[in-house]
Amino acid sequence: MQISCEETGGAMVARVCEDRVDAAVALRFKERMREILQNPSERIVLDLSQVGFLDSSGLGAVVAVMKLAGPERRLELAGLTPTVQKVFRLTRMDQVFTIHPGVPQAGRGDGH
Amino acid sequence: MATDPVPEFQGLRRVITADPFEVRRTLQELPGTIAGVALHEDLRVALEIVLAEVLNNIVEHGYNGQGGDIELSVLPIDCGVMCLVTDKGRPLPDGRLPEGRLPDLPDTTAGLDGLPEGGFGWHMIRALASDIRFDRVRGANQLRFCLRPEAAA
Repeated sequence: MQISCEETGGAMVARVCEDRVDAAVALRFKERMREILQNPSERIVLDLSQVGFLDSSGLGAVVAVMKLAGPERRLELAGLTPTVQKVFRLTRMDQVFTIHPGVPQAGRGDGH
Repeated sequence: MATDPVPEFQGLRRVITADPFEVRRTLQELPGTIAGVALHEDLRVALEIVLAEVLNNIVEHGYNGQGGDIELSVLPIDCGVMCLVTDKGRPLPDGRLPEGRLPDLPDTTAGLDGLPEGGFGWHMIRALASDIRFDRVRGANQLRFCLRPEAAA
């Protein structure tokens, strides 16, 4: 499970460098994110722009990671691809997460 | 030799081992065209989402992670596709289709602890599929459902 991290504009951006976050890798995703959350950044943005598919196990893992990050820090999402967006919409998890349409880029401020 | 009276099955048929990586490969290899019928993109996406949930449920709960065979058939119908998934694992609890009610979202002021981490799978299956039917036949589970573009959009 490859996730690259980058500090940009006061936020830590964790970019998932995988095509799929599914039942096969959900546990490894959670473990890798647990390590990444050791970083004290107050804002954590999970960049999913390279993830083409996410199933209910992957979704459950993203929710679990948000809980691990909290309560004083919030996990935000960015760059949802169409299928991933559909899964968030169908499960109404799009109402729970802050979702940025674009992906934060280095030197571009806070990604809003 | 007697002629087989049953016409050859024209749809997609796969027999896979109940393993999450096999499920992944099967989904990645879903063709865009089945029995000469091109699947609309919305339908293809819905098929991938629903099959992921159905197949991973069998891997995790039906076979309890111990492996086994899953047979998958997909056939184009008038306005969509019909799927049949067969396995020899444990039947669905009480032999019935789960309700698939979305877990309640907690009051946000109560914090994140109450957020559900599971229970999404059957909700998505029910949201996207129609005519869902489960039968236990001679020790095998048969799950049938249809996907139609209007529901899948």
